[in-house]
This record gives sequence, C-alpha cells and structure tokens, in this order.
Amino acid sequence: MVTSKPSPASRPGPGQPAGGWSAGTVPEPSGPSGPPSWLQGVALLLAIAGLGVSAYETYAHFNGSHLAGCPTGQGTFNCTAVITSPQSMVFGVIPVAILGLVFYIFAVAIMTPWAWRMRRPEVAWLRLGSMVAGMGFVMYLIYAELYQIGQVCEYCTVVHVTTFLLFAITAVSAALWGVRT
Amino acid sequence: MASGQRIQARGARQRVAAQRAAARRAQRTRRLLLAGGGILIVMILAIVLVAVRPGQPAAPAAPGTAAQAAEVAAAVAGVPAATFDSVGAGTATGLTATSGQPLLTSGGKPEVVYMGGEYCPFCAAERWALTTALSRFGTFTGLGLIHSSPTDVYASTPTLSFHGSRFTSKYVSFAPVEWFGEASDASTPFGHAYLEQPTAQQAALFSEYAGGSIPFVDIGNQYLIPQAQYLPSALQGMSWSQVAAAMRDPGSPVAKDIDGAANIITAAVCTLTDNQPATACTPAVQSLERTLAR
Repeated sequence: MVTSKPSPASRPGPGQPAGGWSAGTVPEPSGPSGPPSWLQGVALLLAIAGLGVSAYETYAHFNGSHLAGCPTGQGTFNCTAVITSPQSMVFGVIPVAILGLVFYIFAVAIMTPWAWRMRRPEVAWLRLGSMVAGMGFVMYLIYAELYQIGQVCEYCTVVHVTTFLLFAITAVSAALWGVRT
Repeated sequence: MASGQRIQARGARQRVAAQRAAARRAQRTRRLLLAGGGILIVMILAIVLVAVRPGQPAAPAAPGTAAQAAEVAAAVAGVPAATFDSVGAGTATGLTATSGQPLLTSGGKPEVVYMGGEYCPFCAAERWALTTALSRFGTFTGLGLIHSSPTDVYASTPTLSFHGSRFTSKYVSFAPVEWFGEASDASTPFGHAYLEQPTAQQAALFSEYAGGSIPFVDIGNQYLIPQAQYLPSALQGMSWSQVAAAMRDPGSPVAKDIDGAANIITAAVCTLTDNQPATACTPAVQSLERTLAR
C-alpha cells in the first residue's frame, strides 16, 4: 500500500477541522476589481469636456457675451436668451452657470484614475450620488428651457448630454463592480 | 486521508463556490436592472418633456399704461441727490471722449442724441440711466413703459421708451431716436421693423462713432456712450415700479447700475452746461467730471 505523507500545504491549520479545507476558506474567484481603464478614461474625458463648456457658459453669463455659433432671435435655439433668463439664477442669487462649473470641477476630480483606484466605498457612493443629483438637476433645467423660457441653448444641451453619459457610466459601473470593497 | 474523503471534500468546496457565484450573479443582475431602469426612466422623462412641450415661445409682455408711465417718470425724476452722491459712479462703465469736435447743439443748447431700439435689451438698460440723468436738467413727458424682446438676451427687460416722448429743459436738448420697434423684420440691419428714422446728421454720427451697434448716445459730440454702461441682469423679473423704487436704495445693484450710469452722464452734460443747474451739477458730480476721459 502506498501512502502519501501530508504535505505542509494540505495539513489543516490551527482551528480548522481535520480532513481538509473548511467552507470558510473556499477561495473567492478572481475578477476585475473596478471599471476597465478605457471606461475610466472615457468618463474623465467627458468630465473635462463638460468642464470646458461650463466654463465658457459661465464666462458668457457674466459678460453678456454671445456664445459662438448660437443663433439669436425667435427660433427654438437661442443660447444667450437662456443663459441670461431669470431661470438662469437659482433662488434668484446663484447663477446656474456657477453651479454647473462647480459640479464639473468636482466631476473631473472624482473621475480621475486616482479616484477610481481609491477602493473606498465613500468615494464610490459620492461619485454615484453626485451623478444622480446632477442628472436630477439637468431634468429641471430641461423643463425650465422648454416650459418656462421657451427656447433651448445648444451649449446647455451639450452639458446635459455629458451629464447623462456620466450618470449612465457611473450607474453601470456601480452595478457591475459594486460600491463596496 | 482516504481518496474518497478528498473527493467528497472537493465536491463540497465546488458546490459552495458555485452557490456563491450564483448569489453574486443574482446580486449583480439586480443592480444592473436597477441601474438600467434608472437610465431608462431618465431617457423616457426627457423624451416626454420634449414631446409635450408648448409650441410657441413666450409672448411679449404688455406695455404699461400712461398713468403708470407718469408715476414711474416722477419716481425716476425724484431720486434724492443724496442717493446719487452715495452711489457715485457705482458699477457703471464710463464714456469715451471725442477729440477736436465742434459742440453739437440744438436751439442754442448742447444736444444729447440717443439712438436705439425698443426690442434691444441693452438699450433697455441705457434708457433708465439716460432718463434719470436728463431728468436732473429738465422734464420728460409722454414716456412709454415697455419690455425688451422676449426672445433676445436678457429677455423682457422692463424699460422706458422715448417713442412719442418730449423733453423740455433750459440747459440741454435731447434728440431720441427709437430706430427699431419690437416687431421682427429681416430686411432691416438689426432684424426688427423701423419705428423712427434718424436725420441725416444723426445717421452720420451713428456711422462715424457707433461701430454699428445700439444703444448709441452722443453727448454734445464731446462724449460718447458706444454701448450700454451696465448689463441689464439686475433688472430681470422686476416691474417698472420696482426698478424705480430700487433706484432709491444706494446699496441695491439696480441703484449702483442705473444711478451710477446716470451720474456719469450727468457729469458729462455738466461739463457742457457750465455746471448748471447746481441741483444736478453737485460737488460729487463735479468730482466725477475730473474722471471723464479727455
């Protein structure tokens, strides 16, 4: 009869039942620990693009400037009419352009590869929560353009679409890779 | 350990691993459904908002009555001197000076020329300052109360109109030209229908100094206001009476804009009227004269 001596790897450790592995030591299968680099890169680029447009709109809001490429007049599209409307001020004191600028400064920070690598649930929840809040505010702005101002700003629409894409990326990332370490 | 036991243990580990993997897949599926549902809801909401939106843009606001206009004109003319002195130049921009030009006069008095349009939001801003300043030298009658275009920038800015008005003064003449009205007309240079026409002299001044934009104000051909002295953002959403009332509060953004601009215009006019009348050309205004570009 051939017997084999137990190897150190198969010898049960302290506190473990004899006869092999316990259920508590079943190894977890390995897999991706977060969104792939290309998705993180796309999110960061979107955030930077949103920041650029928001900064330009903020400049135009405070200088009464005409936004490049925007028509003026009674048609559906009239950027400057939108960004200088009463609805462009939240509670009458805070310019929406400033809120957008602050949101996108934060978005750029939270979408950097360094922030994605921070496997802290608080950061992931902050990313998800801020994108949900941003998307909610965008829905209000769309309502204000269509139902109160009666005109649409193309630059604002670019920011709205960018926010939606960031919201979608963040939501899908949280679904696939979770928000807990 | 017998091989049978090892086989049993391996099988147990595999069953546990499979159960865990299934649980993770179920959890991930639930999260994906939640995320996908949220994204779908946002898209549907946006589509619904666009699909059922009203078809027409905002209509022009109704003009004020003659009685309201008289009340507002009196309020504008009654801003206390102490308020003007407290505001100084406020947040308004200054004037540019011409060089070596003969004094523009009418009826033996220095003449102020204004050219603008009723639709124009920046003209809307400048009219408040011009009316306020000139009210310190004479009396307006027949001013109108209107709003600027509801589809232009700073939509529906409340303002006065010089169309049909009259200004009388011992010290200065005023020649306003409300060149364009509210109605659209793509055939005109500014896209709005003509309301009044400038004289040949006024057209020549506009061509020489205005850079093709309105509002344009020429103060005796010695000082020019080639663009609005302040942005009309502070006037948004206000009634005419509210604007007139805010002009009396030197700390308000409206006063800093309108009264500040009016002080600068007053200082320019005072240089042409030998600082007459004294009620307009106060020591504070005369100190502003020294800051005018010359």
